[in-house]
Amino acid sequence: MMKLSQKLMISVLGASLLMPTIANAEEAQPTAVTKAADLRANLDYLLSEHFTLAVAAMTTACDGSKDADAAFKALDQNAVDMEPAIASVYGDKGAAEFERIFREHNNYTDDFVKATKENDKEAMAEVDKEVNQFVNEFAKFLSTATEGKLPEDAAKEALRVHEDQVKETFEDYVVGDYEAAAKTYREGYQQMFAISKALSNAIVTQMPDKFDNTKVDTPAADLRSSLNSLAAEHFALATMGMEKGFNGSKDYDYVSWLENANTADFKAAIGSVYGDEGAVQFEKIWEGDHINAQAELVSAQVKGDEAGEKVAKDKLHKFAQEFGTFLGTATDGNLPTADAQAAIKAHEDTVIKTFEEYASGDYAGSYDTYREGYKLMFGVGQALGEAIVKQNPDKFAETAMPTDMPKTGMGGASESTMNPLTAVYIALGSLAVLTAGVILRKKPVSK
Amino acid sequence: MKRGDDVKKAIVLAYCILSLVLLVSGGLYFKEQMVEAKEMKQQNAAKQKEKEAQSKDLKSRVMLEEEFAVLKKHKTEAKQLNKEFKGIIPAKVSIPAIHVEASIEQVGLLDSGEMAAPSTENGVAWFEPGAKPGVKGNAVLAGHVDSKTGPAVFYNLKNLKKDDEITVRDVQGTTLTFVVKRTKSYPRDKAPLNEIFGYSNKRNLNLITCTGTFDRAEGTHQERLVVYTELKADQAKELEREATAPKPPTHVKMSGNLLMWYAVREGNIIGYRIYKKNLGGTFVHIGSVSEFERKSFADSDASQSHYYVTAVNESGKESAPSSIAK
Repeated sequence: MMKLSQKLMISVLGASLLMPTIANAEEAQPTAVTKAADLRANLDYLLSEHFTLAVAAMTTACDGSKDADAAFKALDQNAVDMEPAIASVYGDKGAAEFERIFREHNNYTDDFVKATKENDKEAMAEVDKEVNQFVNEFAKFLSTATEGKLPEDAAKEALRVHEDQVKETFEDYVVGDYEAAAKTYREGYQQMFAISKALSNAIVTQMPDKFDNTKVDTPAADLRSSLNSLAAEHFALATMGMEKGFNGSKDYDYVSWLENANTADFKAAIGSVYGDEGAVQFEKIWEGDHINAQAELVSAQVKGDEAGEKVAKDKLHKFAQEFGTFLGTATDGNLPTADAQAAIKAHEDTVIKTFEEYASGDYAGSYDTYREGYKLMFGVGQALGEAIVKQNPDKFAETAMPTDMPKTGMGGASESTMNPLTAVYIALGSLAVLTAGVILRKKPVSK
Repeated sequence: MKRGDDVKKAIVLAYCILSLVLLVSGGLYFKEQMVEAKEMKQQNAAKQKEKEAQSKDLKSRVMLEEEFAVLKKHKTEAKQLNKEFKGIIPAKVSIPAIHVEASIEQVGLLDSGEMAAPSTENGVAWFEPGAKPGVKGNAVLAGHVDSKTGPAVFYNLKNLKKDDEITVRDVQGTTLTFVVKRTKSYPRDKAPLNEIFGYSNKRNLNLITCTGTFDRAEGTHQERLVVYTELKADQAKELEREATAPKPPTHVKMSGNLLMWYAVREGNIIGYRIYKKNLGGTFVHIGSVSEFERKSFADSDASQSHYYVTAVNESGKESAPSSIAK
C-alpha cells in the first residue's frame, strides 16, 4: 500500500523531470515551470546527486565499508542516467561522448582512495594528472557542444573547483578533520547547482527556440532551484546522518551540524517569502517531529528498542501531516494540503526505507531507495516553488534589474562615518604635524 | 612683521581647534569605554548570580545505567585512573621480561570447586568471579606451563624476578602495570588460597602456573607457582585522586523547539543532561541524551525558556553548566 502511493507521488511530482513541460509563452504570469527551468532542475538533480554519491563512494571505499560497492554502482548509474538529458539536447552521438568522458572520470575515485590510503605520492600524482585531463577534455566538450556559450575557460574553472572540493572533502575525512570535511561538503554540494545554472544557461542561450525562449535564471526558476537544493540536501544529509549514527561513526555529530545549517537556510528561504513568523513556525515543525525523530529512529534501532522505533516512525508520519498542512496553508492552497502531505509522507517513507535497508545489510536496495528519494525532492521543490510563485506573482515578476544601487550623493552635506577614536588619532597627528611645522618655521626666524 | 603675526595667530587658532577636537573626541572615547566596562561588570554579576542559582539546581536521581545507554562497540577511549575507577576486564597481558604476549579469556569455577584452566596453551585465563585488575584485592591470572608436547605460555614464569613488570590492557586500551613482589611455589593442595584469591587492601595481580614434577597418576603437576605482583606505585597513587569533571558542552543553541550543542570529545563522556529553568528560577533536569545520540533535545514548549546542558563522564562526574541558551 505504501509502495503504491509512493510510486503515484513520484509520477505526479516528478513528472517534469520525465516529460517536457507545455509552456505558455503568451501568458505573462511568472512560473517556475518552463522548459528552461526544467532543464536546469534536471541538471541540478543529476549533478548534485553525482556529488553526494562521489563522496559516499570515496568515504565508504576508504573505510572498507560493506556498502562501498553499492555506493560506486549508484555513482555509475547516475552517470548513465545523465545520457537521456544530454541526448535530448545534443543527440545520441553527443550523449555517448558525454557519457564516455563523464563515466570514465568516476573511476578515478577508486584510484584516488587507494593512493590516499596508502599515501602513495606517485599514484596520487598520477590520479591528479588523470583528473586534470578530465577537466580539460570535459571543459572542451562542453564548450564545443554549446558552441562557446559556455566558454572553455569558465567550464574548466567550474570543473576544477568541483574536483578540488571532492578531493578536499575526502582528504579531510581521511585525516579525521571532520569539521573541515563537513564544511567543504556543503560548499561542494552547492557548487553543483552553480555548474548546473551555468551549463543550462549556455544550452538555453544556444537553442532559444527549443526552450520556447524561456530563461533559466528568472526569479521563479531561481526559487525552484534553491528549494530543490535545500530539499535534496536535506534528504542526502538525513540518510547519511542516520547511517553514521547507526554505525557510531566519529563524524556523526558533524553531519548533524550540516543538517542544522541546512535547516537555517531553509528557514531563511521560507522567511523571505512568509516573513519571520512563518519562518519560526516552519522551524518548529521541521525540527521536532522530523529531524529529531529521524535521530530517535536511529537510536532506537541501535539499542534494539522496537517500541522506540515505532514511536519515532509515528512522529515522522505526524510530521508529514503537520508540514503538509503548514505548506498548504502558507501557499493559500496553491499547493493543496493533501498533495503536500502525500509528498512529505513519500519523502519520509524513502528516508525510513533507505535507512532500514542499510541497517539490515541490503546496501544495493538502500542505494536504490536513496536515488529514488533523492529524485523525489526535486518534485517537491518544483511543486512548492510553483505554488509560491503562483501565490506571489508580483514577487517573481521578471523586471530589469541593475547590478548595484545608484550612487546618489557625494557626501558633502552628510555626516561621515568616523568613530571617536579615529578623531583622537587624527587630532593628535595633526597636532604633531603642526608642532613640527612651528619648530621648523621658528628656526629660520630665530636666526 | 604683520605677516608673522598673522601666521602666529593662525597657528594658535589651529592649536585651539585641534585641542578642542582632542578634548571632545577623547571625552567621547572615554565615555564609550566606561559604558563598556559597566556592561562587562553587569555581565559578570549576572554570571555570578547564575552560578549561585545553579548550585541549587535540581539534579536527577536516576541511576547512571538507567539514564544513559552505553554501547560497548562505540567506546574506544582508555578509562581514567581516579577514585571512580572500577578495574578493567583484562583482554591482553604482556610480560616483557619473559617475552609473553597473550590474550586473556574469562574463566570461573569448575563443578569440583577449582578454578578452571585456560582453554588454550597460548592463552591466559582471568578468574572472572574474583577481583578485576586494578581494584583493591587479588586479581588472578592463570596460564599453562606446558602442553603435552612442549612449553606453553607461562613456561618461563619461574624466571620472573622482583621488580619485573607485567602489563594488562582492556579492549579500550586502559593499561595497568604491575610489579613483581615475590614468587613462591606451593604443593598443589597446600597453596594459601585466601592469600592468593582473597581480599587485600592492596591492588594485586597474582599469576599462577604449574611447576614441579608432573604427577601422571593425578594428571597434574605436583606444585603451583604463584607470582605475586602489585599495581605500580604511580598508578596506585593516581587511583586515589578525585575524579575530575569533564568540560561543559559548547555552542549550546536554541533553534525553534530544538536545543542543540557540540559534543564534548574528551574525557569518556557517556551522555548529556538538559536543564530547563522553571518559573521559580531554578533549573530542573528535564532529560538526558546518550553519547551516541544526536546532540539535540526537542522540547515541545521552548518559548520563553532558558536551558543549559552538562556533560557526564563514565565516572558519573558532571561538568559545569554550559552557557545558557534561550
